[in-house]
Amino acid sequence: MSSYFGQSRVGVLYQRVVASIITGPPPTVDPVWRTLRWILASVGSVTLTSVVIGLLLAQGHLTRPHTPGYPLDSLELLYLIAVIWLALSYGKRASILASFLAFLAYDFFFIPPVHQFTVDDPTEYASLGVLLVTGLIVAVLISAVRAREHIARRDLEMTATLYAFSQAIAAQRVETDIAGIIVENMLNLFAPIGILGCAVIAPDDTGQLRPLAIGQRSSSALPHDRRSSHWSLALVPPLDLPEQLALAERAYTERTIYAQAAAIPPGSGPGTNHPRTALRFLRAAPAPTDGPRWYALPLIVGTELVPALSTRASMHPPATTQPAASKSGAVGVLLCYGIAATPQFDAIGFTATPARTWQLDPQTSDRLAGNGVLPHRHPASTVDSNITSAAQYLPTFSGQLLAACCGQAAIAIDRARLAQTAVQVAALSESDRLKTALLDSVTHDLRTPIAAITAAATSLQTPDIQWSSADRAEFLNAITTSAKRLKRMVNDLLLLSRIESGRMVAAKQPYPIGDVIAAAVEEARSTRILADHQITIDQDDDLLLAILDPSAMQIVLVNLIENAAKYSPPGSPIAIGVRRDPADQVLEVTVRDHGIGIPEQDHQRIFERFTRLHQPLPWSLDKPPRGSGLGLSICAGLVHEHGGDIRATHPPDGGAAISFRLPLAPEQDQAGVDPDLDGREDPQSDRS
Amino acid sequence: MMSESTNLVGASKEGARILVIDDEEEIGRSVRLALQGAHFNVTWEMTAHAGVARIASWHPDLVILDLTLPDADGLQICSEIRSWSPVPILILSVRDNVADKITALENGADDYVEKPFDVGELLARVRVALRHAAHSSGTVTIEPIFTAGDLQINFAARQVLVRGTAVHLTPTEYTLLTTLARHAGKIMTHHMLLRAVWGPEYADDLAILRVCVAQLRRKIEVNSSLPQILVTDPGIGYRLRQPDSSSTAN
Repeated sequence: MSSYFGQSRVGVLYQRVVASIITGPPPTVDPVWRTLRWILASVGSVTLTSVVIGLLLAQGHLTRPHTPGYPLDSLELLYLIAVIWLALSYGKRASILASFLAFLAYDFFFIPPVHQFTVDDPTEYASLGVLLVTGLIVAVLISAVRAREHIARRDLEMTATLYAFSQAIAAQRVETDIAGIIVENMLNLFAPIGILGCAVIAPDDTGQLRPLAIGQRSSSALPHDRRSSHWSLALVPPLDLPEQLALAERAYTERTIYAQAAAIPPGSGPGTNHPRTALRFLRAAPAPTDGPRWYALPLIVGTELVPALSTRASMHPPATTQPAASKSGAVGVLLCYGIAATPQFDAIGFTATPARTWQLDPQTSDRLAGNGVLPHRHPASTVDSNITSAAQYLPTFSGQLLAACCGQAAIAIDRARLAQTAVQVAALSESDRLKTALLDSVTHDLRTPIAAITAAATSLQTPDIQWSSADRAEFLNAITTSAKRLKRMVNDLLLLSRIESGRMVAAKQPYPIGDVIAAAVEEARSTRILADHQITIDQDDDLLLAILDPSAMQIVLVNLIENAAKYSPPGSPIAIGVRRDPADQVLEVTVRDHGIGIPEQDHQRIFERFTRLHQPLPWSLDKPPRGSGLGLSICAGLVHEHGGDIRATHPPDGGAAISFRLPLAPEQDQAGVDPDLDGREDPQSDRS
Repeated sequence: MMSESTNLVGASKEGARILVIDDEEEIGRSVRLALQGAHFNVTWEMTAHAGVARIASWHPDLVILDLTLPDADGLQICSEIRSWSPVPILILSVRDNVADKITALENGADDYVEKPFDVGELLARVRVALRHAAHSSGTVTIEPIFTAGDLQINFAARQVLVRGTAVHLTPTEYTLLTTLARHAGKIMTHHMLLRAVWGPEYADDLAILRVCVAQLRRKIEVNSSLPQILVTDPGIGYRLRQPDSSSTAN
């Protein structure tokens, strides 16, 4: 992984960004002190080993039996312990130095003649030589292993970080949520190296770039050394200012990383001081070009970054700007507010303009610090060595990580956007399909009666045919029947559209359901719907009051009775049952038949508009049932308007049952009815 | 309500047999009565399966088919019938979109009448379809001279006269005109014409057809922008005016 990102162009570019963000050598760790430290460690550990050996010899334990004064043969190997420790802790230089020091110290202190660099017994040359060579080899080998381990740990860390990052993103589905997670994770990962503000900016439906998520950290997220030095000011300005969006736009369209010197933080205006003077109050004053910067990193899927790292100074639109090209790769821009203060800044390609530099006089700064707006400057001694060493490899490591995270973020945003598009397309095509089906259905149902009327009327008008009076009657019958059908259809459509647009307001009142049922049955009978059927009504109490609009409920019941009659064989009974459920304060009315029934999978669908189940009726195969497909959806609409619900069920002994529930009138309105009294009528009061 | 026995009643003289397949009761009844009034022998079925069975057993001379049937899609039934019977099929449907019409015509339907329809129009289309069927089955020889209004085609002499004056047509124009004349009164889809005149590889080249029709109209129509003889069925195809029935003398 490291080699991939390390060598790819993207990796290099992102590394440059990170390198520019990072404060070069941590200012509080003095280079002299760092060099001195490992030298002192070498000298100290060799000295300590020498003292230990000296003490052991003084005890007389480890001298050679036949040559007093000479130490044991392999006593010099004790120095190797020191060398190994130095190689592990301070690296190659310290351990190589220690190898030479050990060689000299052993010769000087322990090999006769003592306190001289000469050797009496020539065989001791071999012993010393072995000490030196072994020391050097151990130093080199262990340092190499340590470096490899370092890389391995770094790669592991990067893999784990990336994995966690992509896991966090993958858990999200919505684009803005993903952007939020990206910002949060980016700040968690990169705030320690100076990215204090972060925004994911992506084009909206109109192609305009807009921030999807914005986040920032206070300067307390910085390591102490960074905080305490020249960037005690860490007020992150808003990330969605037009200027930043313009920068993002450029990065997006050109698919190139852009950097720009940040504007002055609020509370300070462009002063007349020379930048250097203004920056003097900031300790370890950096070059005037250093300062907070904006970075616009394009989030690219699939294609390479355009290999040009641009800055504010070179921000002239190139002649070959191809907005279309960006659409192929970039899904958005990661806008970062970072603190850059490295002396190597210009060396790596940034030529920043000192156009607008930090302008703060010491009084203002101290006042802000006193108000808690700015953190106080910390003493340099709070630096710990971990951050130092981390900072040493951060440019490469974080650069790769930044590149990889941007890649992950781009993929995630792209995925969310594709998913969203897919959902929209599916919804559109579904709604389109429904609309087409509705339109076809309405077209058919309205045109058919018109066609019948036209056919009959034009037949009667045909001049060259003499119609018999029977023919005439048949044509006229067709005309009146079709006109009725057309009227019914239009009425149903109007009623349904009133229900669906919410303009149908039921005049609800406590009303005896028994009266409504009686009226509905009467209507069904008079319109010859029930010509071939017996109807039975089973109710506990025909004075039971429900909250209903009598005329609307009559429409519901007539529709249900008509359906039952249509889909059951002639002569079969239709039953209307009324059941009260005192616990839920509802009343359930069921209309059931002994017809073909409704397949389980259609129990929901039948209440949708224009749903007709094309089932052949076994008792009249050549004459399929016909209807508008509106009846049940009208019923459902009206029942819902009453605050009730409606459903289809399968009675165990065949046929279909459709039940709806209505709220019961409150107890005090149930005139003269004692609910505890069994006031049942004849359960099978046949009214037909 | 029709009973099974009345379905077969309605024979009139030696009129052609017409089968109506339509599930709409009032329409079926009116169409049956109207056709009987015009001395056809009519049977009416309400489902696709009964209709198909009736074609096999009764051998009608023409089928009037609704596309919206309770037990099958009319377009499917149309191609199914066409796979084993040459009986002319006249589609009678409320569907008015061009795609359905083209599909029907290319699935073997001979004509398409949109509901609501005028009975006079339906009868005229029925007669055209029956005449074509008679021609193609060879029971009636093609007239050597085709006359429709100002247009006269002498097939034997390969000569086209407009208001008595000979007009020069290119071979393609002549083929197009005679193809349309052979199906005069009947709609020909773009694809049918392209395949018949230019060959199957040009079946989708609408541009050459449009250009050729325009050229032909300039030569045979009085006013080529208001064509009276070669009429357009928008989106579907072209139709040549029916020949005058009493015009072989010219």
